Amino acid sequence: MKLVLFSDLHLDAQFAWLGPRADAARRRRQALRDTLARIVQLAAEERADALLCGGDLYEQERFTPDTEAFLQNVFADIHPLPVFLAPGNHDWLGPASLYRRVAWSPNVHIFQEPRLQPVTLAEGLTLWGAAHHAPANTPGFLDGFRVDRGGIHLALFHGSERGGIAEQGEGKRPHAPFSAAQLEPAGLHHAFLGHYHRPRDAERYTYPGNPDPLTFGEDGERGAVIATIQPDGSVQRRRVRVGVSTVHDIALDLTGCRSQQEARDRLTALTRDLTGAVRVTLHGELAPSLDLQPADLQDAAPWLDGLVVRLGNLRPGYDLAAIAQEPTVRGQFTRAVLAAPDLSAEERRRVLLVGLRALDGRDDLEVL
Amino acid sequence: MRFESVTAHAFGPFTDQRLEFAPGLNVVYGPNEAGKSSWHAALYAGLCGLRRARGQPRADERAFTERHRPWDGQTWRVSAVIRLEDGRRIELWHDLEGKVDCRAVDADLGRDCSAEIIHEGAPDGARWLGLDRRSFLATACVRQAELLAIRDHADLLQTSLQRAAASATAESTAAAALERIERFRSDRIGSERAPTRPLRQALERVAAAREALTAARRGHEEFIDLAVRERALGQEAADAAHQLRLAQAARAAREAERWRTRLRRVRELAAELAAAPPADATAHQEHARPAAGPAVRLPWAAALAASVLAVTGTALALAGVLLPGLALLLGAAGWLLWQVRGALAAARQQLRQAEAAVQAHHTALRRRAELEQLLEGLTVEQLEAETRRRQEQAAQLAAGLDAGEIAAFPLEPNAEAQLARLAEQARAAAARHAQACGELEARRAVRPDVAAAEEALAAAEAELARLRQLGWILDRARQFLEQAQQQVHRDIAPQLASSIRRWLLCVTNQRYDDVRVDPETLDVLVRGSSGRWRRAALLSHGTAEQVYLLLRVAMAERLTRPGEVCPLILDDVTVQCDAERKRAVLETLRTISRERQVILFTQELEVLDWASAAADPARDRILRLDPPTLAA
Repeated sequence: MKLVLFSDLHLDAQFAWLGPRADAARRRRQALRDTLARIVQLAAEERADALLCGGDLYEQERFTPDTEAFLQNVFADIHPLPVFLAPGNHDWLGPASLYRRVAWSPNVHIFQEPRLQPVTLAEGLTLWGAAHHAPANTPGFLDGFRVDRGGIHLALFHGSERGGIAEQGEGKRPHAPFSAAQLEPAGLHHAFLGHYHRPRDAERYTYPGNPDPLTFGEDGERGAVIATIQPDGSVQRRRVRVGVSTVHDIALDLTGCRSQQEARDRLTALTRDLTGAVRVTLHGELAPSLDLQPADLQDAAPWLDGLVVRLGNLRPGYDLAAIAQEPTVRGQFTRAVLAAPDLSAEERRRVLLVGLRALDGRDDLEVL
Repeated sequence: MRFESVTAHAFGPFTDQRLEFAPGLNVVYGPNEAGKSSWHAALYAGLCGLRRARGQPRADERAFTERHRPWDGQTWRVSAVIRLEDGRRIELWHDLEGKVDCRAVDADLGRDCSAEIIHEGAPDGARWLGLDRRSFLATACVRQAELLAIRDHADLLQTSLQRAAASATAESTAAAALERIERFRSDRIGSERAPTRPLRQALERVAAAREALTAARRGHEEFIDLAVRERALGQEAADAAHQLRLAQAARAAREAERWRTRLRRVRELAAELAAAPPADATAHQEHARPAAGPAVRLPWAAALAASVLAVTGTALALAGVLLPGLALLLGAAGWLLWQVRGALAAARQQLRQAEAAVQAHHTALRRRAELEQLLEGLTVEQLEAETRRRQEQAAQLAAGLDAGEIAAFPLEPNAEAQLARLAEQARAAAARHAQACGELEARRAVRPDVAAAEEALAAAEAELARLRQLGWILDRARQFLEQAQQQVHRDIAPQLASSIRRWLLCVTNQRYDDVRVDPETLDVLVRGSSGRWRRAALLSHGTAEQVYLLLRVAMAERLTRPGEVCPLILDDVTVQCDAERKRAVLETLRTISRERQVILFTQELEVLDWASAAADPARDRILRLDPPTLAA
């Protein structure tokens, strides 16, 4: 049996991090829809026996009115290919859930209960699925659970494998927590999951990861997972990239740049062959004559969906050691700022640049 | 530090030409176009070289290059030999073209000491003084224009001192820098109360974005509530419609059953009537009348017989033959009685038969009446057709409905009223649902975009955070700068006063014997022989110029690294002076040259004449420049 798994698409997510480019966030939300269409198409092309979604398909708190029609149509297009949806903590199955309102085509099955319920995929093959009924505090679905029949048993739910919380980084709270060690005693051969955005292929469970980038820094091979269920219940996995969007992290060395235009030209050259959204970290030595703000770089690569500028390891292009030895106001100012214990490295750099520029007779005092 | 020589290998108009200097006062005389500015620049470049760094040169660097590049196109090179206070004699070599072959070598030991003074990519001899190629210009070089400015704007005395105290490059005073920061803060940030300023506008944008987000979320919740309500109303409408359909189906089923029953009865009656149609009623009645009459008719033979017997008997009896006579009478009577009984039974039988016939007739009549009543003017065929129609109608109304539900539906006796009531309820429920659908569609068109509102709020908050942080940075910079200004002015004031005080009596011809420098403003005051303190800026031009020169020396002392002495390079600083002031300035310079090398470029013969008379050959030197010879 061949299954296609995806999770954590987060339709209608907000993209504040994309920056001020007009319509960038709107285009990214459209890209999420395009990615879902590609996933569905993949399932059809692969002649999958079912399409599984491990939750967080959309965001209950911010879905738009036409999301309903979009979801209805996208899954109806592959009827009669079965689609199984296990609501997560962002698309929980409450009274106002979009899942309750859409007139789903007959091939769509939404797990309704906050406990694992069986669906027969084939003779001797059962899929157990569960739904979150609240945005938080959902207990583990495997606590006290055991299958009640023979054959091969698969699970589909949105949950936090306890061993993976730290790896997933800050901001991930446990939802429907469980341990990998619970799977075998529960009689489950494999669990298809959602919630963690970083993909993870373990012996008895699979996190596909979010298929389309939701922020920068998302590493790992993520996309949709084509899972082939073996007769003994083991699972062979193959990942297929389905994301429409791309994100990139690059570094821009400002050393030697004397003007805004030079900085922009460097950025243009770095991003010439890139598409999607780019986060550029500025580093290097800032020439005293350079007057540059992140906003000045915004239109340096207009073909990108979004450009986010952040500050990295920047050094003022002044010879601070020499200036600090001056018996002048400038020297004393520099010594005092360098010695100030309450300034962070970035604050120290910026305070120094402001003072030195002001003493140089300059009016461009908004420094990087 | 002092210059021993500078060699213009290829510099401006010069090729392989050299000037050598004395440790004291050096007067470099040359008329216009003799190359004084070029030698001044060569001196500077020979010591400091040019910056070698990535990127485009600054405007001042481009101007220097354009002005002093070799006229004949040779590779631009200059060198200088200096003597440091630690006794080392250093040869500085600068390839100003490619900036590759630049070095500083200990001329006595032959050791490369470039690493000691690398600054901005090239050796910079000013580093030995604790300065750099920019601050050396501001500290060591005094131009004619500066003295002229002092003459025209006496307050520049204080300003130039503040500028020098602020920064070795003397670009700005600390006070001006503070004002610059304050002005920038006011323009770019402003206060929360100023409506046209960025901070207040950013606060308003955040507030507006928060309101918009709240409204979007509220709209989203309302949309969801509306959708839930629409769904509930839809269910209500569906239930009401279902009840109405059930009622209609139940009523139609009942009606169909009634017609079916009626038809069945009609058929029964028709069959019965066909088997026993009603006869003529009067014949039966007539027939029954005699049977039911008072007289019973005997057959005549029996009656005759009885009569004969009776007469005979009577005759016998009368005849005295009683017993036979009585027997005959009794026999006649018995015979008669028996006959009457028989006749009576027959009559009864006849009566019963007649009555039965009448009864059957009446029954047939009733049946006919019933039939006619059931038909109600229709033919049986018509009745059958109508019954079929009713059945079809009931089947249609029951289509899709559960038969059990239809059967169990509690039809009221007044079904019409019940149907009317249910229809009204269904209509009202459908209307409520339609209204909810309309509201939902209208709300769908408005499309509360929570994500976009969140993004707008994030952008507004980011901008506010940027302004707040910028304000904080500016405030801290200003705070540090104010403290530095106070501290440095406090430190420098007595040092400057002490430095000036050493030369004041001498250079002012005993007119002023003491000097004070205000630690806050660096204003210079001098005390005259009368004991009164006067601002140096308000003194005569000549005195002010002299005080300015002393201040420059004092600042050079302050800014130069301890253990070194910074030379002074002056460019036509006496050209605007009258004879007396010129002499005073020159005397001051000679005095100063006792402690540090002074190189004075001049185009004035008076200065040359003065130098020729006053110079100490052991310490001083006069250099005459000839106009450069251009290559043929």
